[in-house]
Amino acid sequence: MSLQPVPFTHALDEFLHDLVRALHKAVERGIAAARSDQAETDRALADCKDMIDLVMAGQVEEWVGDAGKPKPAA
Amino acid sequence: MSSFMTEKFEFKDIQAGRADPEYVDLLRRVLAIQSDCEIGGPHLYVEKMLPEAPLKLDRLVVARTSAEEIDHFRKFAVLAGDLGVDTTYILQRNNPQRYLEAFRGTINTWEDFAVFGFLIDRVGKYQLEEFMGCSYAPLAAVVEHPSRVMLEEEGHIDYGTTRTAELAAIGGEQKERIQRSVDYWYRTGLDMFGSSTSGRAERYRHFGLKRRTNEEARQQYIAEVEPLIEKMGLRIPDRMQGRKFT
Repeated sequence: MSLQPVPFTHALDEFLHDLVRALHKAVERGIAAARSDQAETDRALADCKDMIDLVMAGQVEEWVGDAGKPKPAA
Repeated sequence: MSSFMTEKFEFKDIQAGRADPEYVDLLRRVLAIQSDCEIGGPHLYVEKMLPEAPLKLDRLVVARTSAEEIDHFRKFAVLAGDLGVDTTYILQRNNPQRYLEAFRGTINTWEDFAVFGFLIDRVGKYQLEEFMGCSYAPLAAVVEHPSRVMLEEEGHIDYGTTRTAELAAIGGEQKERIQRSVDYWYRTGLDMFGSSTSGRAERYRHFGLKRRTNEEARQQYIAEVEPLIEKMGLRIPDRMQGRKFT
């Protein structure tokens, strides 16, 4: 087993970190609207679903872009 | 009697080859398993519970819980990735391929979602506690105070415990449904601690990656959970029925 770090580790970390922050914002938006604006809560839930579905699909190669490609030999 | 390693490692120590290869193997393994368990939760419940939880606020709680578990995955996956473990397969695998049986099915009912938080996230807390003060400093840092991971897991447990108690208090058929969920997840949770005679668990302890034996942790869990089940007016399930590991 190689002890070389996986090349896209930190690109994946950054992608997921950004997504988690956006997901929390959508949840907060939905909770804030729950008593007064059902349509806004529904939109927030739909946004949550889109983001969670993206993670569940696990298409890491699409998320990390060039960071996931092998580096050309020097 | 086993001797236990007390040395602490940073990432740079591993990179420099200062750690026993067996230690590195076990560290990589435990990070992969922990990553799998964190992302395994949302894979179990989002498909059904995100659209079908009883209230919109409950659905938002499902989304928030998922966000927190994805974030926990991220925190363990980056440690694994730095040690050469490509966690892509963990993000892409189907539920039946998960490391632990608890994550191999799907959660289709609100009762199961509630009890999963009450009982299975609680097992998760025990596992995370093992890493407090462990020999790999970056792993210990994820769970040591102040730890957002631990606080969020406590939140999942509290939410699940409250919902389980509420559903049990309704009585009648509802109480029987929640009892069936408790029966299933309690047995599954007890198995998650692993075999009492596991040789690998002893090696984890030898290298300072875990503190308790599997059986010690299981007994502490039993002592914590059974009074809670009784307090909800539910029957304590047979601890041995259907068990795979004792």
